[in-house]
Amino acid sequence: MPFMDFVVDRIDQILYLTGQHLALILSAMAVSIPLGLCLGIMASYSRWFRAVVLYLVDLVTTIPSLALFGLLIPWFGLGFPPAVIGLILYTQLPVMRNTCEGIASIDPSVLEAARGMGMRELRILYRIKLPLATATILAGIRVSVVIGVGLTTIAAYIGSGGLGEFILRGIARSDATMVLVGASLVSVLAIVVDTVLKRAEVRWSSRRAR
Amino acid sequence: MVFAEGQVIRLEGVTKFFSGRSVPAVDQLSLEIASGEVCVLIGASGCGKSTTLKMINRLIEPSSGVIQVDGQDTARLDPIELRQGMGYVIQEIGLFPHMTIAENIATVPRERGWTSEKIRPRVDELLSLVGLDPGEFRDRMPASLSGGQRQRVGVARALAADPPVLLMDEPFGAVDPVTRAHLQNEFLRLQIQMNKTVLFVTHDMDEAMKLADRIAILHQGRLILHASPRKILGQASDPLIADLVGEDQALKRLRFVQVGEIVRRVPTVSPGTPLGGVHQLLSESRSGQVYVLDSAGCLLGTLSRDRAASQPSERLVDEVMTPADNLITPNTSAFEALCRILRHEASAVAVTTEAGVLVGEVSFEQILWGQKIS
Repeated sequence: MPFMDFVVDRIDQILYLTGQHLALILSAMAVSIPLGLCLGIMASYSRWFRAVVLYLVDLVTTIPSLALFGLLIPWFGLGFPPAVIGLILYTQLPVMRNTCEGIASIDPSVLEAARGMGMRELRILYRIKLPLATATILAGIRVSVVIGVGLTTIAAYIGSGGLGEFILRGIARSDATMVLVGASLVSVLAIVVDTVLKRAEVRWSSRRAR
Repeated sequence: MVFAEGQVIRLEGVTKFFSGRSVPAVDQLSLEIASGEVCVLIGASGCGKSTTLKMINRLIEPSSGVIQVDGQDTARLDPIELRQGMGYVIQEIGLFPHMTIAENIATVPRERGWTSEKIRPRVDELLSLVGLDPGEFRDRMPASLSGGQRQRVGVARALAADPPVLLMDEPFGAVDPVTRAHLQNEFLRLQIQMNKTVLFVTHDMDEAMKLADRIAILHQGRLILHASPRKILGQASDPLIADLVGEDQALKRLRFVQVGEIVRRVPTVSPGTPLGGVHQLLSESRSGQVYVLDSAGCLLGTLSRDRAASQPSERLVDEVMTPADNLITPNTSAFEALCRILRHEASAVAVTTEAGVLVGEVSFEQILWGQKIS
């Protein structure tokens, strides 16, 4: 069976590219999650800021991903840097929007009670708002990581490495097995990441009903 | 901020304009709430009562006017400290759904930096105070409580740091009538113990009548009357007030009349008197009965005209009298006396002291016509 032979033969390369794929996503998320949280929190306080930031992030997301990577090349060249920056720009929206929406959907009476009892705004943020928005924020992070898995595959076009490399090279060499291995691995990775993060969400929300 | 027991709250010419509205939500409101007093703000929705409440803890800033608490202008105080010195209870309660009951109650103490050794016993004390078993409720989550239980927790949370002032915005408005009556009774019981200065917002006049020392009636942002519940019932000729008080104001007024105020003297006899000797008294008695007393003045029973006429006149009073029951004390409300009369299909009820000494009787006619409203 050519699929299994390929996997056994190239196990080192598969592990290397998978590692590279994950490294790209993790680097991007390491910036994207805190940035998205900050922007989302700021947006929850100011309707004006929210409108501007959502517009900008939406605009970036509208640009086709390959075009966005292309646009980054003149400034950042090829390889890892433009790939990570593109990923950050793309994965920003779900984190930011869900943070903002998670906070906005909190029962207003909860916040009125907190304010009325004399809690300071910063304390309300980290004792009330963020804990209550966590389920929504986690969902945003999950969506954003899954998008990241897919985008990283495309980033292989600008020489960032990762599992997209197999698909790219496979197509160039008309090697169907190589394309299949790359595509399968990326799909499995996306499904695994989605499942794991979904579980984390469920675990979080079930803590509340005691 | 450390407040002394109870606080005077004073509003002077307080006005609030909301942006985009030409009519003020609150218009030149001046009001003083004495220390330890329960003041109920009442009016139709949109009359500015909740706005007034929120201006006191500065959730809403007044457009003009001065609000003083304990002689201090609240505009110059740190709003955080001001609010921590005032318990705040709202209709929706606003319990924090991700925290246990104990954590919810401990909110203000924790904000004030109490140690957990100090917080834990305080939480248990408060749970007991509002009638919830600490062992059972301490570690439960708000979602698992009934509406009435949640509102009890809401009250406990507001009382946690023992604030001298309580602001309550329709706190019992969202629970069923039976639970509401329970919560109101417990509020009254707690208030006797705690003596807080309370500003209570409601649109329910019965609730206001029950809880208030004084009621402030707001209409379109203006204070139209600030008086005791009894006085307000006496002024129900004003159409605005009549509207709030409702059709049954005459009955409501009876709750504020004590039978001691309208009781009338009655003919009495001693137990050993033969029936022949009481016919004269019976014919003069307005309620058609005489009251049988022992030598200490304690009521033993009553004898009605019909009963006396059906018995031979040589029998003694104590052999044929109806033993005393259906008694009320002078501090019973006329409303309760009326209920008693209706329930027993009697023409009057006897009024005695706690010790059983007869004071007099209260009749149906007296309750309807004899009440004098100050």
